[in-house]
Amino acid sequence: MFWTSVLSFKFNPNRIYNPGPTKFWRRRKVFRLSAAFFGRRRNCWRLAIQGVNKSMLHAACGRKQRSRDLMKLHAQRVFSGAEEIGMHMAVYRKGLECSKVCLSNRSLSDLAIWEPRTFKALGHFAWNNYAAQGFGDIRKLGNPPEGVFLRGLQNPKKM
Amino acid sequence: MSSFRRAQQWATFARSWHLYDMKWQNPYESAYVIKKYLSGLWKPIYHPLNNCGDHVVVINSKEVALPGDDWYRRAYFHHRRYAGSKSWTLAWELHEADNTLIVKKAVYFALEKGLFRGNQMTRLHIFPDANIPPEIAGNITNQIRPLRPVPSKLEEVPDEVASQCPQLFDLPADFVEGSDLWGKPDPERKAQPIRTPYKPKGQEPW
Repeated sequence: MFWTSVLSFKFNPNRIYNPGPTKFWRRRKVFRLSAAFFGRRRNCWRLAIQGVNKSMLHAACGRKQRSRDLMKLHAQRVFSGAEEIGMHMAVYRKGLECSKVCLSNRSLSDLAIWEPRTFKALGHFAWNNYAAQGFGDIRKLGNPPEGVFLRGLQNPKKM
Repeated sequence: MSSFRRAQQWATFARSWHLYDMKWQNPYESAYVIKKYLSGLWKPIYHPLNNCGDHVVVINSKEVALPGDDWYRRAYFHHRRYAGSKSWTLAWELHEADNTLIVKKAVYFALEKGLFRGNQMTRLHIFPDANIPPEIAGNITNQIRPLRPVPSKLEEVPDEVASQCPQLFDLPADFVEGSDLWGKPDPERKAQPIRTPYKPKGQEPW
């Protein structure tokens, strides 16, 4: 060994010996995720890591699919709730949109289940508003129900 | 499940019974109306896993009306799982064999596939004519509005009313009999091309 090699030594943080966790602890994190799998996919590393990767892909898809399913379900519930009071859902939503009542399908479906009279009153309000806006009797709506007062909302609005 | 939802009870313990008159109705369109009641889609508490469907009693399935020339063109496929045992039965043949099968199959195809379809089909009661057993007739509380009004035949109109109606045209005697609008049944009765599945648009709210 020469002195030059000793003198040229510089501190390099990348060369610090840092072995990290052992193979057991590294793999244990994955095995915890595969604990509920069946057969060799639970304890064999090669099969477990494949299964965990695939299951995480499925979970990512399911997170999006869940919100889509809920949106469909809420739309279906508002649809059937509006049909009960003799309206079409499009008229219901459009009538509320004209009068700036910003209620989502989710809250409307909750109203249809738990507070059907509120839902019905909102529907009659939307029906009158729809007729007052002059959108036309496209779905053969008939006369809107009476007993609804529209204050300052009668002016047709450009939609 | 949270402790608040533990006591949540949908009012679905009672099943209501609906009546549907199939006289001169299109079974493939009516199936989607019946589906709404069988699977509980008409209730705001609907959920695909919620067992909230109702009973539907279909009467007059003998007098069902298929669109166009579907009596001769629509084929029902069946395979008995033996070699060469596939068969196509035309709609008019199926109707002669059993008056209720066309309605039953139309509803079966309209319902969503899954584990609930069999249960929902058991709640469908089809009768070829208007004779319903009294134990079923006593349960019915609602009648579903048919899709189309049933027109009255000229033979059913009394002569007093028909004589008052002025005759505007002199039609030839074979005006109806000679019309070849929908074609005629195939004498050799070979398998016809199967129509695409019928799905009316605008049924779903999204």
